[in-house]
Amino acid sequence: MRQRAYGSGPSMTFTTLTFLLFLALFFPLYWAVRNRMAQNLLIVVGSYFFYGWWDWRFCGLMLASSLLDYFAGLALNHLTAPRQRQAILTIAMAGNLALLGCFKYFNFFAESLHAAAASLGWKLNLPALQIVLPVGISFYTFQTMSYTIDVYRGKLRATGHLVEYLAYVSFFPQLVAGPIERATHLLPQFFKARVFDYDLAVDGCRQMLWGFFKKLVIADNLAPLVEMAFSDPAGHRGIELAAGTVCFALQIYCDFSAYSDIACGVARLLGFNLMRNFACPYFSQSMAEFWRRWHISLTTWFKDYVYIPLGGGRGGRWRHARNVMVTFFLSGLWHGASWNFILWGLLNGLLVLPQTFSTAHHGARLDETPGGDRWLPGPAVIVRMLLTFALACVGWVFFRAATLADAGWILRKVLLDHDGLADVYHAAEFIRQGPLADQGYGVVAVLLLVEWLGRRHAHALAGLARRPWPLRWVAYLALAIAILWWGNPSSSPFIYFQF
Amino acid sequence: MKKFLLKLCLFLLFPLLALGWAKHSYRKMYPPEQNYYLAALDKIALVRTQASPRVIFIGGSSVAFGIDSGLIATRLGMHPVNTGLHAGFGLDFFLDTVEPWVRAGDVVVLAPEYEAFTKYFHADPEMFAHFIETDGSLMRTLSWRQIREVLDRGYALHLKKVLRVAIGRHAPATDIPIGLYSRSGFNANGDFLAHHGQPSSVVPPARKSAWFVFKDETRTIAAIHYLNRFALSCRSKGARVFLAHPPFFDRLLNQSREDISRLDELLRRRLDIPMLDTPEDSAFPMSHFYDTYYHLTAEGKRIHSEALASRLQTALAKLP
Repeated sequence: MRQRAYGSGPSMTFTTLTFLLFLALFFPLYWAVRNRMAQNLLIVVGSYFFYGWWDWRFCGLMLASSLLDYFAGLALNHLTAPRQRQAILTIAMAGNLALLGCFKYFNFFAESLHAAAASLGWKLNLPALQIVLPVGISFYTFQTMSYTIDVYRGKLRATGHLVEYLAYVSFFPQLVAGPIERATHLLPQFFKARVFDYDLAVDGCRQMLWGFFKKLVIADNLAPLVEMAFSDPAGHRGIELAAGTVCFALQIYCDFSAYSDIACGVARLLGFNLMRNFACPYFSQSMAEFWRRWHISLTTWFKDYVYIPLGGGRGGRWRHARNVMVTFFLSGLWHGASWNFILWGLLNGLLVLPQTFSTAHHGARLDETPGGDRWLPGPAVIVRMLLTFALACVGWVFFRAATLADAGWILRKVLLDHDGLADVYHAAEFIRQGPLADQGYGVVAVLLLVEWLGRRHAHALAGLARRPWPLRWVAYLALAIAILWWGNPSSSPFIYFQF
Repeated sequence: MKKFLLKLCLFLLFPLLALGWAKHSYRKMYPPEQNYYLAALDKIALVRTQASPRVIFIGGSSVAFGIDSGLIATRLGMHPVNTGLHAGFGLDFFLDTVEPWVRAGDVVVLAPEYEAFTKYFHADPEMFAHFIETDGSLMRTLSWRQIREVLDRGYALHLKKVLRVAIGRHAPATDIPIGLYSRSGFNANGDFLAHHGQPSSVVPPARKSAWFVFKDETRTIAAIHYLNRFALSCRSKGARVFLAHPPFFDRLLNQSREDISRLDELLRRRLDIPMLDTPEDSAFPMSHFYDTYYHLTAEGKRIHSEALASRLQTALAKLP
């Protein structure tokens, strides 16, 4: 398969100087323009500039995708005949899925067909496309599809205001890696006058600061260890692979939730509220709860537009199980055109099934405090959290491994390759090879402590608002020092950019 | 809004002060005028002003240390230009710098390190950030893509290293010891001479990670396309282009043989540039290297340059 390149040049990710300069210019200009419509237009221009910085050629693609659903929505506003409305919906969905299919899945399906045909002794001559995966395509197409579906269902009326609609689709804080916003939540905010809110802006900055810490200090410093383990599984011991997997679990959480935190923080600076995307998933006590707390915007999207239309939990256990597995299959496929991701999705579906049928309830609701309300959780809670984390890690092996064979090798080694107490030494030596070396333990401990203390709030630092100002400023400066000292700006872009 | 901006500025004051202090300390420790990388300015000027016909050498520090461009130019009856400096500049930087100034009758010899075909084809953006900070006019020599890389990553990397150097927790930002490596270490042709007379201090790398590794063909194929376009452009102006292998430590060559052979085979298959030699032709024992397994001593340079001169004479004689 031809390898994909991700665009023609560097992208304006949140942790670059370019983005900080962009924000430093955009922010005062935005608030200097007091007129709501002008602000929305500025958002559209700024967002397309932001996206075009990566590759200007794909601005047209995003615009085309946006306009497809814009006009589909308007048509749905005017049509009342069910078959006509269904036809419009089908065309819009087909158009969006065709875009995804072409840019993201064509080569995967072609190769899979090749392999299947070859196993039957046939030879197929399907072409392979040398194609660039546009950053954010999975996010913004899902966002526009949800708009059209909600208009079809009558949950909202399509807007005729093109600028507001384009601003909703292209809103730069959440454009390339979510949260995938529903039109019912975000679109109305573009029709309200925005007034600068000091408390909202300060809280936004707190959330951004925490996001930068998670990304630059933790995720980017764990990345080399993860790469070491997963690029050469045969060259590492079982305990080292286990340590590498745990590092990846922390890396992907810190990387992805950091993006969401910074996105939400930036949006707040501009007077917008984005949905919460992560709610302390690693404090979950079951896999069902984990999937209610991880990448919430995507899981709720699949729930509302795939799981429930299929029938949800109705129609008996087998149908219920089918609906869960189909949903997780598609979720895996959304993440990438590879059997690794599909298996990861299916595995998580299997892990979720028992709790789906179970009547026992362990903090499964989003509004409940993860890990319980007590400051120190009880032993049973800790055991459940650790078990859930371990199960999630099994899935992460498939997610991160280069091939299915590598994933199998890693899991076998983790389970069977042990060296008794010497494993502790080997694991410590492995961790020591990372950029943080032994300081990594302290940094991760800070992460866990802050996340634990802040788990009741929308983000980990939100609780600081009620603390005395000296404590707040000590916390801010400590994080700034940590970012300056340990921050690793050389590392990779956000993991979810590849989806 | 005013209250917010005031508090934001107050918060940002601390990191800005810390970085300002670090920059000041760094400049005092390492004066920019003697910065090794500023020799790039001299080399760019040489490319533009040296009279034709010229023999122009392009590569990283192995070219600076390992090629006596004066000796070779004399043998060919041409004027020398040695653009070798540091692999971190990226091979494309000097290709882009040289290409507009190539004239009829020039001979261009590409002799990059093996890593130039993998991770160092494009510049290390931190290198350019350091470069630009030392002399802002150098921005004019960079492409838009390179400027974006500096803004996106390079400057942040550079500041982080400056901070660590200032606090004494890191080697200089370029990982080059300042004493010997300075702008004044080059002669008028662009050859680096400051290490002449110095004993060999290189030790064989013990860890496997130090061997040359060739995994990602995609990047190399992109580099080959770039080189072929460069060669086509030079030939259209009446210049000739050749590729030479870099000097390399013979034991390391054996340890990396499989990967280097694969790279060599790919280059021979896809590059539209005649090759002057093989990897083995440029392999030398440890005693011929100065401080890394790419930097030849004076004696190693002499042997390598004489051999290269002979191969160039032969190759040029064969051309119509």
